[in-house]
Amino acid sequence: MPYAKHEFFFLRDHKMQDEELHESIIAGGDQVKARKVADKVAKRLGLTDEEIEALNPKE
Amino acid sequence: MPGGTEFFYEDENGEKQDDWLHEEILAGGDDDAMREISKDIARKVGLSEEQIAALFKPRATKTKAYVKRDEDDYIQDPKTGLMQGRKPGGGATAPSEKPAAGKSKKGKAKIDDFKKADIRIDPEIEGDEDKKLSFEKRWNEAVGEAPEDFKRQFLGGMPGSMRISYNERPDAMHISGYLKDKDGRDIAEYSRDIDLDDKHAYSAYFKVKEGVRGGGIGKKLLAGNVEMYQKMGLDRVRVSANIDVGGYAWARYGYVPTPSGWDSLKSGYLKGRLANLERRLTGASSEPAARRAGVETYTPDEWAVISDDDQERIYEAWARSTRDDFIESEVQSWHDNGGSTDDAKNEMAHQFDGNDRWAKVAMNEWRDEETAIAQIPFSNEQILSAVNIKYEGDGEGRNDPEIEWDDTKLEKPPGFDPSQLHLPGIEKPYYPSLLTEEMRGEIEAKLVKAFNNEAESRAPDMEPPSHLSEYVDEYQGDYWQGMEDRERFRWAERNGELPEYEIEVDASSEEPPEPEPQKEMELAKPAEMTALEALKKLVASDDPKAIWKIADSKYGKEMLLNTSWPGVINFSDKETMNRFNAYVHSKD
Repeated sequence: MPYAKHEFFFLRDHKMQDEELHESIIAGGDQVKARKVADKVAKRLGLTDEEIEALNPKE
Repeated sequence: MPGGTEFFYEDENGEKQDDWLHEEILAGGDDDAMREISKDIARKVGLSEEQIAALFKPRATKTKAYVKRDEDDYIQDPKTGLMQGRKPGGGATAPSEKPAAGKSKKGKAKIDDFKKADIRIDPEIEGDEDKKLSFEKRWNEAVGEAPEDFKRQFLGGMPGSMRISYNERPDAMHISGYLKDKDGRDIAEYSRDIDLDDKHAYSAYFKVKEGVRGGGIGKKLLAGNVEMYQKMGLDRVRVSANIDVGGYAWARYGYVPTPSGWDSLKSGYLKGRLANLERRLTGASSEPAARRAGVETYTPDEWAVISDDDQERIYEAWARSTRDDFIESEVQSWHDNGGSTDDAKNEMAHQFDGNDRWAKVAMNEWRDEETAIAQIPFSNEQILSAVNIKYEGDGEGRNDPEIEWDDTKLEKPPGFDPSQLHLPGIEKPYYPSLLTEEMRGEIEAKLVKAFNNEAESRAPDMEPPSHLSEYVDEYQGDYWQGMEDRERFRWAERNGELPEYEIEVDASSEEPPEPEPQKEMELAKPAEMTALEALKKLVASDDPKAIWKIADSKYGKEMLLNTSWPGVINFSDKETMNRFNAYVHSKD
């Protein structure tokens, strides 16, 4: 393998960039569904509903 | 002394034969002088004019044997060993007996199915019968998909090239290639490793060409890969979450740090980021303050007020952090500008010894197309042994190789018996001329084309030369000088490299300085303190899935951008797959 291990990027001005690539996937995702999974895990880890809510970005 | 025994040879049964001797001479075709000499010889040995004329006709059907040559069957005269073209109909590679790509007989994939699916198999496998059988067996056991279907699904339905190599030890497959646009241009390069024994895959490398809208193709490739991994019965896929956004984004998609990766992430990046966040929210730094009890400090808020020593320290940290990027960029430029193709051509020319597979395939193709010539007077091996390849590199891989001929290797056609050939009073035939200028021209064209194609094919796997990294320090210095102060400051801030300075107290002042009113105003609101406490709990957790809530939080980017951690998707974990599918299988 001739290259270093880097997944999903492009080169611009000598610099590996990935923000544009990932942002479109994140923006197109079902964020409500994904967050439900994360919230369930957070609750299992001991976070209160108030703490979970406090972490959520403003809609 | 027996009569009529000049110009003959004895075959394997001890019988005198002379037909191929005449035919080779006749096959010289465009060499009139040689033709006349040949006819004279034929007359001297007792052939009638009709027989001589017959010798100039295309060779009639004779007893022929089929011999295996590379992956194709070719016709070979049993007496002379001369190759006479591909076996008509039937045979191992005859189209009528070949299954359609991906629909091999008995449902088992064969090497030829990969070719039909335009999948390139490691030449080491193709050239070794044992390795070929081992690969086919392992493929059918572990993958069980027709190559054509595999490629389509693995690439998420996108057009592209694919190369596969396989190592029995450690039972691992490497899959790489390029995704293409509708015009066949490369738009992205990918590389995946599959450990069949440990049932996991690694998304090693995926680079999108600048200017390509890559989000869509990234999602399709990821989805296609994972679907195929699941069909293959793999347990998980790994990724190295890094670069700018990767450490944040892969967590959004459901990737989870490995246990050791999570420990490292927590004690490194997340601990520092949490301290920075707390300092920002509360207006005070907990850790430095604890270390420096009683000492007021402040963090610079612009590049200009950072000391020269700290600016130098930040530059060194930036240079270390971005060195891989610059090397990658140099490697990329080397590939894009043809340097890897040039190196591949140099290496191929240097290593050429006539046994090179690409050259043998080219010769077989030439022989297939050479229908006008009834008999080609030399075997492929003889012709290739007479070929020398020279390549003068231009650094960009654009030059063609030069083909040179060593005619001393063509002085003994197959079956040639030097003791029987010389006729008194007749000039010895010059056998190399049996390979006519026209034939040589055709062979050269075939070899040049095959050489160039093979070099292009090898280029992606060429090792970049070590000198590429020699100038990286210089490039980085130039790049840093070209950055604006605010960009340098932003990098230092985002990467925890900003210094802290003690607030100097005026010794002449009797009163300690009053706290700045602004600081009082910046104290965190209750909701932010709640969020901070929640983050602390998550960062303290032993469960790597805690990273999901961190990533989803309003501080997700602040905590995870520019981090680096080994991530994994476990296909049997329902929570993981729900989260993965929420992004990768969503309709956008």
